[in-house]
Amino acid sequence: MSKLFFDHLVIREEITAHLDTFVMDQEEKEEIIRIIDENLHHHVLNVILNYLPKEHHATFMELVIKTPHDPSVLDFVKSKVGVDIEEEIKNIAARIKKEILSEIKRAKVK
Amino acid sequence: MFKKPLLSWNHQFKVPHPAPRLNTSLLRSRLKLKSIQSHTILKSHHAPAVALLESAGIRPGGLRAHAARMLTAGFTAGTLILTPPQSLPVRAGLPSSSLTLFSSPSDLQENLSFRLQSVLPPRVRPLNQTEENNITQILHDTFGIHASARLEGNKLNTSYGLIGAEQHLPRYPGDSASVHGQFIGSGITSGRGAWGYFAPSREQMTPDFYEKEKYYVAVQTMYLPDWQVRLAYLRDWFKHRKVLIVNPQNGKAIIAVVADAGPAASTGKHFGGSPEVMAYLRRQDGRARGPVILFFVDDPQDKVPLGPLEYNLEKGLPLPPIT
Repeated sequence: MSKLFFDHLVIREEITAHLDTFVMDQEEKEEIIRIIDENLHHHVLNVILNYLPKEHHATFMELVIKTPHDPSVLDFVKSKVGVDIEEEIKNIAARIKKEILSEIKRAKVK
Repeated sequence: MFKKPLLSWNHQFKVPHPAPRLNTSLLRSRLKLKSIQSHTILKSHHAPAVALLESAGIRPGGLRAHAARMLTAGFTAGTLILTPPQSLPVRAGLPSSSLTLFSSPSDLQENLSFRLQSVLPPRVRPLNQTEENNITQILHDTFGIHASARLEGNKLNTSYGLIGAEQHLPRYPGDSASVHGQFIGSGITSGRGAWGYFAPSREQMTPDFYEKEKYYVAVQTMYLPDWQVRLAYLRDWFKHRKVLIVNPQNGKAIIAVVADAGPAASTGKHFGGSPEVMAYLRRQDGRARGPVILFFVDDPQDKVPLGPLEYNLEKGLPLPPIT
């Protein structure tokens, strides 16, 4: 599994561990995790771009394209925003995780 | 004297609780909807930044796949990180077909699904000419295949509709589901397909016929406006006509032939798929149906093989990303 520069703030293990408690094909599980991942990426990028001044958007995107795994991408963002961006990412990730766990609960076959 | 057991019966014999199950189809649909919504929000708030990412062939939701591709290609090694082999503007300027170079079938499917969902309407309906042309182009970029909603002047009433699960078709007189190898539980139709048996007897079956039954679809030829008027011509034209079916939600694509007519309009469905086709497409929601694109394959020399399509036929097997 490849790493992304914000992975340490978005602990997905809680979701994957929860999925592991259900009977399902490996392929199905991988697809569901991929969709969850997509959703998290959209939200994390949205939060970063919301706080990052527009003049730095292009540089940020180039860093994401060149070195998506590198912690220096987050360092760049931290140096340009006036908020605790790590905390903001953690908050949005926690909210999305809660929503996803609720969806999993809803899909449980009774 | 009777001694009361210390533990309950269940404790003594440890009856295991069955592992809980999920309605994965429901979960997948709901999560996908959330993903589409979050993508729409991101794009509406930060269109230029997203466009920059997409011009490099990267979907915002596909960052991990991009990171994996870079690692595979050795991008992370040494000075390559500092000096990317290709600048963004050059890559963005390449023809679209050049950008469809994928490291794996799942990568290809993900990209196809993303592109199709950007041109398809939210609900199934007959597509207009522009939409059909866009999809033809996307399918060509992805698979190197010529597929279209209209071929040689013929088309179905819709090329974007709901597909439902069909049973096996009898391939020859006396055929039964139990000898079909896979998906025996799907059963076999009581009557022959609309175009009859594939062969007059089991001895006369060929590998080609086995493949055709395995990968078949049913289409609503009976509702074509000119079906009765041009019956003889259309019956021959549609018999074993090669088609490409794509599930736009997961990008899975399969080549099949038309071997039956149906389903009835009263079912609300537009196409039927063999058990093998449906299993591959994973195109079964709780009601065993879901949206697909069904286009005719222009393959006069019969070079396109039946079955799952997971690579670009013009460029060969899934290729590594541009370096």
